Amino acid sequence: MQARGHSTSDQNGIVGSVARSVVSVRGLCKTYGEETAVDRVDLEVTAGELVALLGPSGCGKTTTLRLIAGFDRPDGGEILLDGNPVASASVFVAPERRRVGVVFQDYALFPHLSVAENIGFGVRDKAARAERVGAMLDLVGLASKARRKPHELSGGEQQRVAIARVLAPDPAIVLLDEPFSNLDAALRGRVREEVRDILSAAGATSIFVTHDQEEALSVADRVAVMNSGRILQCDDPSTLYEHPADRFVATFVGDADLLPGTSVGAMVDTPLGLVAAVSGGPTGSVDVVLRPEHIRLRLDGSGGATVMRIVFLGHDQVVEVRLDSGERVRARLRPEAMFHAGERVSVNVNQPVVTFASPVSATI
Amino acid sequence: MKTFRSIPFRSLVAVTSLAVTASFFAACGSDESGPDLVVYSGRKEELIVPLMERFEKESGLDVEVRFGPDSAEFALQIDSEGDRGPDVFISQSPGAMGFLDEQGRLVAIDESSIAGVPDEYHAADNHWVGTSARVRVLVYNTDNVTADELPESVFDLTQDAFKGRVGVAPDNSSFIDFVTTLRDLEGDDATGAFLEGLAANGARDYADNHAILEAVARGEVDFGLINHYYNEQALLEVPDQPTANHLFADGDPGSMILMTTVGILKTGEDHRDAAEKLISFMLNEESQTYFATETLEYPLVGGIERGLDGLPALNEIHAPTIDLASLGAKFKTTQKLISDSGLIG
Amino acid sequence: MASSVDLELPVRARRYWRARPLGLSIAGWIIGALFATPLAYLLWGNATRSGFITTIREADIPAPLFRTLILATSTAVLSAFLGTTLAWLLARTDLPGRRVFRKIAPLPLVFPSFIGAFCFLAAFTDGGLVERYFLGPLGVEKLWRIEGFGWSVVVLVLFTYPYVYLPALARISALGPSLEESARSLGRSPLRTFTGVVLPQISGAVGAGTMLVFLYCLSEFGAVSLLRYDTLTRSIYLATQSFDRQAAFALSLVLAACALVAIGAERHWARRRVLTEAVGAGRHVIIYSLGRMKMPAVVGVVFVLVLSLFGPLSVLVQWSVRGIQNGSQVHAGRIWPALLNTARFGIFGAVIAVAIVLPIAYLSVRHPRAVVTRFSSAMATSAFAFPGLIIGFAFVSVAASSWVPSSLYLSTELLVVAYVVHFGAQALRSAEVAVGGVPRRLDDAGRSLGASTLRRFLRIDLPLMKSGLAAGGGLVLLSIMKELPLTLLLIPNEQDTLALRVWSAADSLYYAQAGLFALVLVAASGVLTWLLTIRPLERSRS
Repeated sequence: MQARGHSTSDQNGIVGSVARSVVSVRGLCKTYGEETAVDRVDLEVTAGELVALLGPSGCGKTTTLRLIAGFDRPDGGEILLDGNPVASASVFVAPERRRVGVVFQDYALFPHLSVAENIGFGVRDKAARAERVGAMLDLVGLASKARRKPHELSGGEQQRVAIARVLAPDPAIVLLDEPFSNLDAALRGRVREEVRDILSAAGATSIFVTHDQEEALSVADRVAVMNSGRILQCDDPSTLYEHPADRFVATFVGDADLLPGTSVGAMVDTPLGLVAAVSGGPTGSVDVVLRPEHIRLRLDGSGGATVMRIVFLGHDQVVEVRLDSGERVRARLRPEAMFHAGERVSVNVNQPVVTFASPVSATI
Repeated sequence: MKTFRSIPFRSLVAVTSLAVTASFFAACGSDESGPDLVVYSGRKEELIVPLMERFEKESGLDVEVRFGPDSAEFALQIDSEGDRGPDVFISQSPGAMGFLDEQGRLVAIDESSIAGVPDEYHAADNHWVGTSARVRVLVYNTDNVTADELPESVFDLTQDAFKGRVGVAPDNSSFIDFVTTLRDLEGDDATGAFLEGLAANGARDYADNHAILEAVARGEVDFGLINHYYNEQALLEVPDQPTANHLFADGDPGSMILMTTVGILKTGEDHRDAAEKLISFMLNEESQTYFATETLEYPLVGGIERGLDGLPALNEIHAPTIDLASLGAKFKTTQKLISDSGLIG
Repeated sequence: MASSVDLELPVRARRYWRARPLGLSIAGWIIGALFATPLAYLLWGNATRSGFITTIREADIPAPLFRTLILATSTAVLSAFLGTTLAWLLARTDLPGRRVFRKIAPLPLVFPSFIGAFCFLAAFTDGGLVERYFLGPLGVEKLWRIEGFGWSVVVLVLFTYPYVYLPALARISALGPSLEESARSLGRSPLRTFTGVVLPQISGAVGAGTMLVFLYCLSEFGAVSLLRYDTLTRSIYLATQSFDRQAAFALSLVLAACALVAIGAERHWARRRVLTEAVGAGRHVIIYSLGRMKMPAVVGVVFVLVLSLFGPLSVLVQWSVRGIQNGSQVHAGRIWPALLNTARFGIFGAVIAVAIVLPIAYLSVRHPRAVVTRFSSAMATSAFAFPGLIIGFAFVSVAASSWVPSSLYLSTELLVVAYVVHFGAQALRSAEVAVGGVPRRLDDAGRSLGASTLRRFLRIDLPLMKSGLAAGGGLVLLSIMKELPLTLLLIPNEQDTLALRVWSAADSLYYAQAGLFALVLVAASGVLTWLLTIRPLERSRS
């Protein structure tokens, strides 16, 4: 397959050296009037990598994507693609000359063109077009529907056409804007796998934007968490989860409850008692990050908490308890554990906890 | 703008539509009794309304006047209307009245109503009577033309001196009337030769008298064949316009006389008295003076002076008048002569 | 004449009969028959008198017909180009002043062509206003004489491009950004993105507007007569001047035949595309930077507006001022009744036109292949290609017949009906787009909630179609406000409209009066256009 062959040969050139940076974003800024959408963002994406931009709506992730694509001009900073500046104080390369492929939330398939025509749209070389389109159709498994019009396809098929269309011209990087949000829940998991497989089969370097942390963690090689225009942390999913860089990341990526505490050597004194802390945390007054899956409950008439609510999820259940000190804590338990509202329980933490220095103003 | 915006759009729309609806129905439910006389006027409202208002006041009659399309189209409308036609038709061009007469739609006007009108200005069977007259003239640009350049006869316009300098309106009814009269006087061959001469001499083609006058005023062409009152009326509003009328020599067909006419229709039998009254009113001294001074035309009833300088009195012109009888039938041939001459386009 | 039309019904329509509501089909046939009035009258008029063929043969048709078709085609193509270009520039680029330009660009449509062309001549021709006051002092002595084919096309394009501009602007504005951004990131330049992606998306709207321009030009007489371009309408005029109704009708039938062929072609072409139009929703509006082309683009837009709007307007102002200074009489008191009549004929005509074409629009969106659909929409569209004068004569003859109550003849009702028949086509296409924009599943949802047909129409369809219908109604309104021949033949006795007053005063050389009334007409039309078409468009953008 041409796409793979082409990009692997690219990669072969750099095997053994430091991984080549396909996208370099440095100090990127964008404001709309008073509002700062993107604030000094730095991001490096290496060849073949799949990076997720994760954040709540309005955090600037889509704007960052549009700046990389060239649909908007940055107000500061620079963007390099394959080492060449495409946007800086002195340079602005139009989107059609960046070799950036974009998959839109609504797929943006050209309704007047067939599936094959859509896929061939970006292939410049007329002689190679048919072959390339055929290869892409095979890649996304839609060879039998080449002559259909987009409105005759299902949502998942439309998405695959959109990705094939983007891959056909062999772009330096593929950008995907909320690629799975238009699909229903039942379809989403399967499509996610498919898309991931297609992208990796094509050896494509990709960035995708999402507000769904589960999606980011499950698909991406690395996840960049954004809030208020800034990238707070960019790491592989498990690092992100185990070692969040700040309070926002801790609560946005995975479930977490925060408890106030005081650092005592390697331990923290919390309303749950003394708890082991991850080494290297701050000293003094801290906030403790409690992951529900790290909490264990035991029926205990003399325990320090009361069961408030149980949310049964099938593969597990979340039990919310109120500590006598007033804080609420959630625990994720196996489905067969039996608790009932009003029962007294004792609460334990079975892993070292992450701590952050508590903000001065945020004392309870 | 600000205050306008502050009014809610919906209420604005609501009030407007309410007002318009009210006015719609108000206008629909007009009085049932009907007018004493229904007049269709092929002549423009600006010229006729003051006269009609005066007539209503003097006679105490309720006159309803309709101002429609040009006289020819109006004549076709009257013909299509059948029994629902008007009582009286006032025509600006002679041909339209001739057409209605041909269709047998006119009745003879009472002799007493047209007393004092010279014979050449009413039909022999009294089916129509002239009310005023226009004279065909050569309008010229006073900046570009000296007095000694002005021609004696309309036939001179085919000479080299006028090459590319003359404007005509070949589709216009008064030009067609002129050519039709020329055919009566000189025959079709001579008329055709004259038209071809004009075309060969680079005569320029305009939509109507008004467009010619504008072109002469701009200096686009130096001369134009039009009716006399266009220039006189324009000079009232634009006194510094460099245009003037020139009358061809005595008896030249280029300065022929075109009559505006009035006739009573068969559908007007019920209102015959009122119709006769209107016609004699239009021919009385006051009305004839109105035509002379306000519409800048020539009165047809003897002894009334024109209010304006410049052109001689009608009886001094001795120009031919058009023969209204079966004019409509001749128009086809006239149009063909004009088309074949190459004047158009 | 209605009966000859109904005879077609039973055999061919039965196959589709059950598939759609009976009421809708009946309404379609009745409305189609109403729109067929002029055509049926002309056919009847020609069939019962001497042979139509003989008349056609005698009338020397080929040359003027060829000129008419060349004129209409050239004007339509250039209007499509100008209207689309303007729409794209004003909707999609950083052209300075685009907000203001967007509001005034549709206004040339408000000039009746006889005034527009006359003023254009007075302003720009050799020795005209511009040469005297602007170019003369600069040493330019001779401008061109404005006449003939080329200038006819120029003048008609300048006054008809809004027929394309308005729907194209609406369509571009409704187009989400992602299609264009996709094309850009797939390597297409802004221009090639426009031709490859935007144009196919707006082609339905542009095609419909272009068709209106084409039909408009078929029946245009005022402007081409002033510019001395010899078309079929001049032949019709000459026929009426020599009282030859037969020839005038025969020639009009030729025009109608041209219109029907053109409509058939456009329908065939449009139907294949209707399904494939995207209605993208996007949060942001794409604005392309014009870069070095910014100044040339501004100059171009200003140039078009000077020629089509400011030049003619300045002539009207000059007439008014000059005449009033020289003490010419102006019957200012007559402005109000004429304005009121103009507004109420226009508004009633527009509302009724929209209401009456709605069933046709439903038919052509939901039952496009039915015979009743083809019949009614072809009749509605062809009536636009007849000269107003001929429609007027058709209604005069029909309504003056003895079986019609005499109170109906020359009544406001008859006039409004004639307007609706003549101009309904202008509302039809907007109505089709509006109906097409209502998802069928909303109807299903309403039905499952137990809403009756009427309630579903009033509460679901109508609110969703509002702005689309208003745009179509706006075009009809403007056309009625400036219409002359039809008004002249059918207006009730002793009533008048602004257009009528302007024509009458100009013809009597009362320049001040003509100028003043024309300014009022243009201002009133401008305000109504703004309210009905520009404002809803601006709102849908934000």
